[in-house]
Amino acid sequence: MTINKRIGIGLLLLVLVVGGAFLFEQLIKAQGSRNGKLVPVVQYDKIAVYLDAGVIRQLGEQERERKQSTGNSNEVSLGFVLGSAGIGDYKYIEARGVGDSEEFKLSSREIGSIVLSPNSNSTFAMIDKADGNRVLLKEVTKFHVTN
Amino acid sequence: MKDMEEEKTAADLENPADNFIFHIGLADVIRLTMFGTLISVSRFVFQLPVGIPGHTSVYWMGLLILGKGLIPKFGAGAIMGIVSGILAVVFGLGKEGPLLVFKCIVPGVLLDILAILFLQKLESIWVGIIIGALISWSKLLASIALGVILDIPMVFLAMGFGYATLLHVIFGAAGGVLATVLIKRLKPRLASSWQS
Repeated sequence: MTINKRIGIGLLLLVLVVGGAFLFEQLIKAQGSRNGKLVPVVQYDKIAVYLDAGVIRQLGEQERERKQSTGNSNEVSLGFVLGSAGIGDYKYIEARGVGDSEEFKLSSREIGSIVLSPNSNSTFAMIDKADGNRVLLKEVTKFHVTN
Repeated sequence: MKDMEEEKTAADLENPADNFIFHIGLADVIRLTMFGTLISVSRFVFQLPVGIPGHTSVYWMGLLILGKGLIPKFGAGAIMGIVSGILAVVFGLGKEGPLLVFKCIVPGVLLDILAILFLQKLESIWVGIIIGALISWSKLLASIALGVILDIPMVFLAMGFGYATLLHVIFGAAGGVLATVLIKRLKPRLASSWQS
């Protein structure tokens, strides 16, 4: 094979690499948002931040360090997560789960008792501590912030 | 015949430096070590807080291709990668710790393979663009693989992957172009003095 042919194939490969990378990213986002492994937080009709079980685990560690708590659980308060994403001023938060699960509308006052806890399958659950650790959503798929 | 073999063995024993590692002579290994050192030193010196992913590829991939272009032997890229990786760990570059060596070796090894596929024509600008872009992208893939090993949340790895790929390809290609220009200028001058 001549060098020109090899260069042609190489350039084609570069185009495929760049195109494939954008496609891969979109697929990961779409698939992750569907199965609750990548949870978008929407504010002003734009995605402000993405969350996943790993982020929840790390934010949980940070919150415990800040509060100097020695607890071993991975959960983190929803208020701390939103604060970390720079979302502080809102009227209420709508949370949606996988499939036909219930949709929750939480005011800024109600959010105080809500925690997020990572599941073993890379998703995370939303739990109400004030209601005896009641699981509100087993697998969260979306948060919508309303100002 | 037997005499000839004995003579050859004797010649090998007389000058073991001609076949030091990967069938590369000691003089070339020292030169490659210099390039590997330059890669790490340049990363250390030119560390810019610009927050653009892959901008280090301009001099990182440029120096890798330059070294391989001036010493076109199989294993040259791997040696430069190993040296730059060890030095990067010593300098404390990156957040991956000792695993950083892996991220430095991957582009070097891929360079060795791609140089064969492109018939060692590293002085061609198009070949420089393609090889620079691909080895720069391999660095990004190695970073993602390290992220998976180090249990970094998938969000951080997947987000902006397309954008990071595009920038790595552009900066790697720029490094490749710079390297081909330097290879064209330096190779004729060094051809006589760099014979090992």
